Amino acid sequence: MDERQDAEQERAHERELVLRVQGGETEAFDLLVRGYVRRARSVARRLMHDPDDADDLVQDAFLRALERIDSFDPDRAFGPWFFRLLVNAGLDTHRKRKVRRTEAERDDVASTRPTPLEDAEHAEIRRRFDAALAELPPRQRLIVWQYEVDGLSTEEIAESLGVSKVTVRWHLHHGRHALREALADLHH
Amino acid sequence: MTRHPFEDPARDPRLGEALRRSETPLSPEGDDAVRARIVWEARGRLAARRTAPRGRPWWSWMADWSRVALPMGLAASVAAGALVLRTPVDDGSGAEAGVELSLGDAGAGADTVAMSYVLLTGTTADGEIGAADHVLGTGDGAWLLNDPTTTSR
Repeated sequence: MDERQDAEQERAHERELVLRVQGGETEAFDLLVRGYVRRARSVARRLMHDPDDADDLVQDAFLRALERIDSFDPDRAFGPWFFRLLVNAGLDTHRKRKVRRTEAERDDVASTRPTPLEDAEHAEIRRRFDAALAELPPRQRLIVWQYEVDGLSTEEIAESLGVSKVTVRWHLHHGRHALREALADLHH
Repeated sequence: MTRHPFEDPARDPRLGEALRRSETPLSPEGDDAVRARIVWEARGRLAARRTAPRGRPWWSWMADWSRVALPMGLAASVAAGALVLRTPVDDGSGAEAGVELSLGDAGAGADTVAMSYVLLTGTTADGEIGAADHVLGTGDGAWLLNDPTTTSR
């Protein structure tokens, strides 16, 4: 019961923020961005792979959302509308730029560095896995991530991306197959 | 235990772990920097919103109209339904008879039970074989008005 009330309060608060943003209030826009920026960066990184491209995409998506905010019904949840916009913007960018995939620079990421316990084989698996991940089509990569890491169902993913469940399953099947091959490679 | 073909496939823990490890951790400082950049870039657009006169958004028109349109549509549907049920039909005898549907009509209920029996068994309640012919009937459509529980050979 409390959870439902909290959700309703949150929705009412968000509705008010959207109405204020429609009126051009900077503080309201700041609060709206603050509420979604972490998740947006996470989704964008999965989609773009390159951290700088991902942050550019997040900025682009928020600015697009602001431009189209009048067409958004404040009585509905902002999140699904915004993330659909972000994903579509990301896919557009891929199409237009024909992104040259670069090896992700991960020197600053402690968790992906080989630990002293990781031997050369583990490092090689990691390298191949990252390469396979970068090779996946952006939408496919995002779908595999949302399914395997976020634990979303195919139905939830389909709804969030605005595609059919069949499409999600198709991408999931092919994406998982490619990544599993990369993981299994060095075990032979 | 077999999985239903329409069920989501089982999650792969090894794949999930590999994905998690390849994900670049996001820092709150990074979030703040991106947020500040977005708000800075948006300030011109926000200022334009504050000064520009705002028209009514499309969804507010929809919301207003639905208050009137929905009851009107419902009322029209009910009226149309009542008219259809009360439309006179030609029974073939030359006289017009009003067809009226009445839920507590015992005669109609008995006919329905008798018809169901004929359809299920091919006989009447009295065991008369060939009664199902009444169901197939003649091409002129008169069979629709015949009593299926009596034979008229």
